[in-house]
Amino acid sequence: MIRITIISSHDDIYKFIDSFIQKHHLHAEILDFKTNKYYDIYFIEVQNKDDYLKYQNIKRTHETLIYFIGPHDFDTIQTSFHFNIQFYFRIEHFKQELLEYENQIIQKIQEHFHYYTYQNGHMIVKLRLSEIYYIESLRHQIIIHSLNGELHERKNLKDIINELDSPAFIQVHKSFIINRNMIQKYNSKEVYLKDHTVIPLGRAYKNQLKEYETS
Amino acid sequence: MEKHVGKAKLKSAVLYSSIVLMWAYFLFAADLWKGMRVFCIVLVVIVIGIVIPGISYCQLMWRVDHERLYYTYHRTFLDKVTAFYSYVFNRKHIYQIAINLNQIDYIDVSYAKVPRMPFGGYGYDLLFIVHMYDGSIYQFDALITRNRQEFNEAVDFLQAQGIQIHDPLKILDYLKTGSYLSYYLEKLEEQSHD
Repeated sequence: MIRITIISSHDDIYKFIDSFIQKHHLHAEILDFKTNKYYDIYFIEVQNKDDYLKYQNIKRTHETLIYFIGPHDFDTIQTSFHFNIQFYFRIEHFKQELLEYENQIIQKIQEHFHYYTYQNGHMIVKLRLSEIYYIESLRHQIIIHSLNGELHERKNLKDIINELDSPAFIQVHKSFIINRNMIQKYNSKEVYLKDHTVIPLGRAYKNQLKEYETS
Repeated sequence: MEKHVGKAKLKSAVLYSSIVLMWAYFLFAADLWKGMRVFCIVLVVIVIGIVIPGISYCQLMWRVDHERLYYTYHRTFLDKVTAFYSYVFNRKHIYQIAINLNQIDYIDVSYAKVPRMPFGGYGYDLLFIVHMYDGSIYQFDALITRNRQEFNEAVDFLQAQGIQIHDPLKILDYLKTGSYLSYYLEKLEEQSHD
């Protein structure tokens, strides 16, 4: 479930975003904003550049998407870009701009918030793909290593790569699939990931990695 | 320091095996009818090799230490047997999930009504729904039927590690009273239908 929060004094902004989510069948819910909670997408209305101070410390991960809604004022717009935001909507044209750029916005949301689901009885795991570092095959099972920890599952690498169906995941060894967004660096023998794991690079997969990197 | 909920009952397995072996020995020695001895050997192999490990091993187990929460669930009898032998040979449990405590946002406590074999009745499973900061979710059945004390201590330990537990139905408080959870959840169900 994608966690969306809207910080706005305008009811119509709230309603319009809600209908936008329903229109695109996003698996998302709109939650009340609390300063100590994490959300995946923020829609924040600002009146002037001083308002940004209030939102400096909002909880975010590197996948969080932030959209500002504010006045058509150069200073305010310029300050907003310090926040690494996705888009700045002009409040008076909010509806038109949201519809105009809806394809890009939806594409971005779908890219960021893909899940891998595993179920075994009442045990259900929904892992965010963007937070997976790598997947390892060990005997007859796979181990998914993510920011949150590990998940063991009886499956083979071929099946998991088909299930993930994401260009972000590439096989670099007969026993390893990695998330290319997690690559820190690589050489002819090894791939170094952002969590400091070193993955062996198979000879047969070298060119494949290079192709992905250049694409 | 770490807390365990559900343990492999290795001592029970050895005890059951000894009892079966004794019975088998008497039957073997008595040799009451032709083929009795072969039957005894087959029976012993099946009981000791498959049935006892399956019975002795827990369906669900979890463990929490200062860094991680580990959980495993054996859905089928075969899963339990495999896990038992893996434990015997490796001398360590293989947990299906390992969750980093520093990535947990909060844990929701809930329950699920599930059919119980063999009389067509219903029972309740206590569910932990672990919400991570990144939006990932881990949901699992957390309560074992015996040793409630172990469970309560593990939950307290989790909270002591700074994990927020949201329990709007006050299920965990009720568990500390030592009463049967099913009665409480049944009441809650009835109230929700009223």
